[in-house]
Amino acid sequence: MGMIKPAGCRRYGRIPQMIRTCGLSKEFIDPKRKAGVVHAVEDVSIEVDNGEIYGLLGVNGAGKTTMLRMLSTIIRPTSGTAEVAGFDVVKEPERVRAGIGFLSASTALYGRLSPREVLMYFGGLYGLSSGKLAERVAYVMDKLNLHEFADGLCDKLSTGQKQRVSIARTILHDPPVLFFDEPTAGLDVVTGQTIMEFIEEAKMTGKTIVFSTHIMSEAERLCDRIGIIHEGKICGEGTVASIKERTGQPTMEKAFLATVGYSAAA
Amino acid sequence: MKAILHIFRKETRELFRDKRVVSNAFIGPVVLIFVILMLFGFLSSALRKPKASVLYVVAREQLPQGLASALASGSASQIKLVRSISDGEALVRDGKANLVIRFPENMEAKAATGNAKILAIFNPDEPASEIALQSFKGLVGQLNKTAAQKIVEAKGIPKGLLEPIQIEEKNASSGKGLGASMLVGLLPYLIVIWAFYGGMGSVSDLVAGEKERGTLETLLISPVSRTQIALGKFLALSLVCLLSSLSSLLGVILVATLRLPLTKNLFPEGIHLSVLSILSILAVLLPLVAFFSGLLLTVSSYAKNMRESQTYLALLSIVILMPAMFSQFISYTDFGKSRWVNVMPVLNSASSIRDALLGRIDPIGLAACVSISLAIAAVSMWLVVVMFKREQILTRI
Repeated sequence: MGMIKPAGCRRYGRIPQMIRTCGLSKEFIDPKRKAGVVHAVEDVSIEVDNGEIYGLLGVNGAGKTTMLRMLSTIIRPTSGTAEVAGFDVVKEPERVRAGIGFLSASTALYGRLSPREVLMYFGGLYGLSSGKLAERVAYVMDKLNLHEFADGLCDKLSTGQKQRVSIARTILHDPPVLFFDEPTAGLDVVTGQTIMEFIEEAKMTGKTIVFSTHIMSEAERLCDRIGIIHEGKICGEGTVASIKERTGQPTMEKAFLATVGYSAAA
Repeated sequence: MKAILHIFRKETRELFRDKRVVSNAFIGPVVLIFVILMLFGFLSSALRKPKASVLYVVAREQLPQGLASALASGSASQIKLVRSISDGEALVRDGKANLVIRFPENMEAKAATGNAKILAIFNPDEPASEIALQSFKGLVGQLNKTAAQKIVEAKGIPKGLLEPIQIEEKNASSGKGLGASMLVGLLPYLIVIWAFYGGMGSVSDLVAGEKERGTLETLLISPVSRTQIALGKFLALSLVCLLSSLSSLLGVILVATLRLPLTKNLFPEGIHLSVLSILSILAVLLPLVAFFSGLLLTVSSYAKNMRESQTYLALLSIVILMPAMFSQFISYTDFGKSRWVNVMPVLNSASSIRDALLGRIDPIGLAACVSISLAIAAVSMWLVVVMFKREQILTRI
């Protein structure tokens, strides 16, 4: 399917954008629905600067996961364009994938491999040389304190331990861009906190991060800018303060509801 | 190539750590083949051993002395009396007797005039009854022959005239293969079937299982190409299929080498295969393993989850099983020598393996078999790669 590049996508130009989308859309054919076509993401144009945390805030089914899946090249856009770390997601998907790390709450590990083996496997897939791989594995294991369970099978690990291994896998190849798709969904408070701290640390090391969530407090705590996504469209964008100001609401939750047009009567 | 081998090593390690794969693909064939061959050996011994059984007769007093002693020294350890023919029929029909015999009155006198008719009541639906009838016919035939010889001798006629045409048997076997072993029909079937079943037990985990657990998404986000991922998995699955098939062969070799009392008549000469035969079997087996792996991986890649994959695989196994089963019996028909067998997938492989076991190499048949298996493997893998490159591999619901 040919890409249609919509006119009028803005460019900041002052700081090089690590992620840029222009009129990005995704349609799915759903034979179960009357209309047949589902517009999961519609005409989304965003830019994320180098070192920025950009939050995609939306309810379940708003299009957050589809958006991140397009940016990480797992699915192809129906129209529009997207660049990640300087590479087009359709034309150079393998180069895009080499520069990203992806983590979600449902990201699973190989149960019959140990955490060390998982890391060695993914390091190999990312083309790390044996010396570099050993160095990076040692680094992430120290950083995430994996040593005590590094050689047991992943199937035997607790949810928190698994999530730490998943984080280690995400940053193993030191990618400049990180995608987090509702990374704390279904996790306990302590494990969720570990992830939040990890994202903050990643920002300090200059990573560009896109973080999808429906939890307002997480978005307020982490994000430099937020894009509110609803029914596949970005219906509001800016810093937490600017969104509150624009909607005239005191809390992010209320500002979000006002942006997506929710009213109690409805 | 490096990435393919990297994925292959990881998949192999994971598969070999799965107890289900180890028991199903590696230990299962050895144990099952061992048990099957023991059973085969037991049945074979039981069939060869003269069976002492009870002979039911109507009117015992009419049983000629010569026949009674022949029966006693042969198959009938005990002779029981049946009151009437209808009682005899009922006994045979109910499966309580294999054969009921009624001798004519004054049988010896009638036999002297060539007019003695014995009534044999049997049930053709029961193999044991059929065997008892044949055995009894053989016994009577032998008595007839002896009687005829006596007459001929008494009249001074040359004995050869009783059998004016005789058959001289000459063994034309190359002697290189398993020869007349009864297993020559069964072995190709086992080798082929285990190549499939070994992979069938493992493949659902390779793609459909990864979809279900969520690890496929992680894998697809890596910069390795989808073709490399598919090929890495294909190689790992091929190894499992190959080892599974070789495990079944190991079971056969084990039985042949141990020469246990029950199974020694299965391999009277042991197993002596030439290097050329072994190479031919491998030449057939390797493309067959690629063919099965490609097909299995196609199903697993298409399926949404493990359960769906296993449902499709159960249907596929029937399609594979039919020609494999037919291969056991094809040598009893003229089809075995037909060229169309060489182009029938699975059947051609079993047939070529059978030829190799008999020490026969048919280069055209072998080439056709290898080409067809490789062609199916290539088409299947093309499909797998296409599926891996499409987003539906993750989004099909």
